[in-house]
Amino acid sequence: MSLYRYTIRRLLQIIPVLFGVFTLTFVMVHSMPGNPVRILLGVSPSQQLADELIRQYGFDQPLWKQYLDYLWRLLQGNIGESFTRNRPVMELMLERMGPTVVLMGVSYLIALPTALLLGVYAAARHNRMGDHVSRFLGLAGLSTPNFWLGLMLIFLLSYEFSIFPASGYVSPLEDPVASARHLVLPILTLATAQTATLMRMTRSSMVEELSQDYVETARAFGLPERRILLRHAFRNALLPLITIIGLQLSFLLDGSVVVEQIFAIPGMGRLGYNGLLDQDYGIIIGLNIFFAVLFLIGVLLTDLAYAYIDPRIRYD
Amino acid sequence: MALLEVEDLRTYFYTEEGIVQAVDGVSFEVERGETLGLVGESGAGKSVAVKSLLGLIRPPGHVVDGSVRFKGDDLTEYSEAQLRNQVRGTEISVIFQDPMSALNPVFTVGTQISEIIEHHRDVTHEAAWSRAVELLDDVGIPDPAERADQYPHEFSGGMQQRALIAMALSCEPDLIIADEPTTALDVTIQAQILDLFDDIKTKYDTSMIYVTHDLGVVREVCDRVSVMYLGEIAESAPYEELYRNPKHPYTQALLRSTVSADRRTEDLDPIEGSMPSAIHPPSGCRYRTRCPVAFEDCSRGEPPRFDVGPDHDAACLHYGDGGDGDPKLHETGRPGTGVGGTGGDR
Amino acid sequence: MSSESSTATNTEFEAESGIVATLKELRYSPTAVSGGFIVAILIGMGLFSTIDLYVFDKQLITALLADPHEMDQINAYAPPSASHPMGTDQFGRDVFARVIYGSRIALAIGLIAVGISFVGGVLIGAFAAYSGGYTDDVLMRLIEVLYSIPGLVLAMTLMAIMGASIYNLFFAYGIIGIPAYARVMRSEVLSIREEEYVDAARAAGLPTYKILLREIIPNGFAAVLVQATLSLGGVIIGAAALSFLGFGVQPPTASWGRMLNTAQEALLIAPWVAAFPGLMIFLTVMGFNMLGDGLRDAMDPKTSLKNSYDEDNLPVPGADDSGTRTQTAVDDPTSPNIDLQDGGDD
Repeated sequence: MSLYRYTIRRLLQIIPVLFGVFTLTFVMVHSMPGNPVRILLGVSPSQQLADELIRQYGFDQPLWKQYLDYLWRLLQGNIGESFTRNRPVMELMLERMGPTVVLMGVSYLIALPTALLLGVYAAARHNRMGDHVSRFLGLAGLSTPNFWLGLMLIFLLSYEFSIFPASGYVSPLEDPVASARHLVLPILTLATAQTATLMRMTRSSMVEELSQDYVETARAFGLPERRILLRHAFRNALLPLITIIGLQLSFLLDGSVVVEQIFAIPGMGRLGYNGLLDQDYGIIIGLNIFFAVLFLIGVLLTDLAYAYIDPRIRYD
Repeated sequence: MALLEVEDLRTYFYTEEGIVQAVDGVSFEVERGETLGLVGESGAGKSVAVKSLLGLIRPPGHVVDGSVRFKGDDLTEYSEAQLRNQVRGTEISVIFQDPMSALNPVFTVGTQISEIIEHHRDVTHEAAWSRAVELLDDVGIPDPAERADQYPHEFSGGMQQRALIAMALSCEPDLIIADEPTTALDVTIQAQILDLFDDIKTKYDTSMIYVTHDLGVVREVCDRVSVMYLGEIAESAPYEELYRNPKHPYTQALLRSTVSADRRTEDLDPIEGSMPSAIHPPSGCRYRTRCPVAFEDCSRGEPPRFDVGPDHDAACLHYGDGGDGDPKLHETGRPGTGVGGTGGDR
Repeated sequence: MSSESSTATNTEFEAESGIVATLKELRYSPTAVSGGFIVAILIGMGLFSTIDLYVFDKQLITALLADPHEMDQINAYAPPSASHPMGTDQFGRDVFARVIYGSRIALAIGLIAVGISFVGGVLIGAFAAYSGGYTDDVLMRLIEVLYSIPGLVLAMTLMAIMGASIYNLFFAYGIIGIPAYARVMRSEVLSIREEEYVDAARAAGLPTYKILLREIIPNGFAAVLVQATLSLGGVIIGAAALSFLGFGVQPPTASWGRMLNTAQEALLIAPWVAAFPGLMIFLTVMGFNMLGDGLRDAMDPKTSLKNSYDEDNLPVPGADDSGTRTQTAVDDPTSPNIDLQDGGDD
């Protein structure tokens, strides 16, 4: 089977999962306590207005019909209306996606190379001082709650030393310098645990590969240690890492919700957070689906990268 | 001067259970054009011994004593960089036991061979590649140009081992160390690989150290044999001499326990017990705990290697001054029965 | 144990002795020992505050420090001092007392949520793998759906449905942890299913649920246990994040995440209100991670935690005096048979 056909098949495999996510989201939203219209209109809405709204949003329909309508709308790329904001959820999300994508993208671009470098270094110094230190730092990074780290960074670098702004977001397209200044603290907050986790995994994957026979062969044929490390072992160590990098996306997405909240960044996470507080069905659906789709795309991409790099994969 | 002279080599592993004296005072020589068989049971220290030659022992293992003279230079005095650039792969190369895991799964076979040529020789990538294809042809891989572009998992076990042999030949070394190269292979493939060794020895004019636990295989390829037991050399002789006239009780036992075409299984006489730990080896002669003819003195001191025949020595007190010159093996078995005629192992 | 199947008895024995051996090896890991120390202190704090709360109605902590729930508006945001070692919060409550009381919540969430994930994941994973076929497909697809929505987002949504309370927090974090355990357990069982003792149990006519509960689950436990220790830290952080975002533990219960939520507002004037609870989360999670890390190393047969020799100063037994060796445990058949790292000899 070719890589092309493998791609198609992996895409097809996502469909039932996506369908499951849609269903789960529907079930969750419709199990929320309280009447959304009541929340929207306040404590004592006039009966007439309430009835009209209920009809407008289709809440008077039987649940199965609501479900089918919901699926049908989703297939057309329509997540529905936000009734606290009176706008299509898709529109709101498109507005808010930018900051989230920038935040996560830059964090990953920083975390990934740093982690790979440190992990390879630690593995090369296996059981020596450098290894012990990086292992300890890795554990510490992994154990630091990001929301606390964020607060401490704000206190130190914004309040005490006024180096970086404590909150807000500026698009890199508008003002790259201000944007970068605003992003430093959020990215530090988001990338620390990421880097630590990936570093530890890189290290253990590299240690495993360095104990393989082909490394011994390369040494026996006089190849330099650096080349063995960076070319022979690293290429193999990357394979299990690729899968993990995809799955790690989940934690990055979680982290972005927290970080956007702390630093008042108007992204998807903050939108979803407010939607949850308001019990805004549309936004809650949008939040869950957006994050799930992003995660599934990430996993798909890493799976394809894996198939591309590993010559042994037979796609079946 | 011999091509390789190993003297009193000691390699220890510093493990949590204690110091494993894996190789403890091993000496042997390899002449130019000669193939030396290094024979012994699993755990005798054969592989550790040959890896020590190239400085391939990694912590917790250490070469703690001895010298390895190759063309007159002591390799134990070499720095890691010297070993890497001047010895490994160019002067001495190694073929490991399991070809599947010895090749890197994510690079094509051609890439792996040409990488070594490029690293050691001042040639272009293209030249290295075509040399790699030539080598694959030399080791009997059909369609070498296509095969060079394939990954190890697309090769069969025998073909993988051929590819590794091609890699070992890539810089035309003076000495090839084959560490149980056929153990992981089927018997028919084994025979083909042994034939290949014969061919390349003539064609490339190299010396060899052939590590194996299989005395039948030794007969096929080796000029001389050194028998190892628990980190030491028990006996050393040209192979015909060793087969016909084994002196050390361990060699005798080993020969009696070897399966071959002209001996039925019921005639086999397995060696009693198992090899003791190399952490607390028996005092004196290390074989004495399993030796049917051991006597009091055997526990006192390590037996020196006594000359017992032309180019033949054995580390057994029976051949020393106080010894009787002949361990009385008749009580336990048939000394040297049929060992002269163990041919036809294929 | 019942007498229905002797293999079942053996199985449990093996599983248990494996875990005991692992725990014994843990003491050689300084990381695991320090982690265990931190966790022990934490458990002490948790036990103390629980007993104090339910048995003594906060009298002990009031005598020692201050009532963690008592407000004192005059002393709001008091900086750390002798009477308030960690300062006070916006209501003048003693931060140190609340930090101690917070350990109860953090531990409870960690243990209960992980417990739910553990039991749920183990049962689903084992059942899916053991059943195979269609059941396996459907279950794993469902698990995948649950896994696709990032944990915190799913937990926030669940909390919005069920309402913010500590019991719902246990439940929400328990649910989102299930997929990871189910996957680990499933892959363990898939390999265990092929083992002979399971065949034996099946041949003996044991019903499926008995085979699952008695043979398969105990043997897959080790891997899941490591997963549990390693994920405990993540769950504690996640639950604290949920409380930090206002979806978790509600006032006036002292929880570290919730304390940080309110501390955010007064970060500029009273940083201590944020610093100490966060530090406690960090220490707690660090403790569990160190323990889990050590546990994983101890379970990995390839790594050994016992660190024995100083690489720069290695003793060399008998190298200077090869004639006489230490006379120790020569014939001891129980002396460990060390793998000489001698790949070629097997």
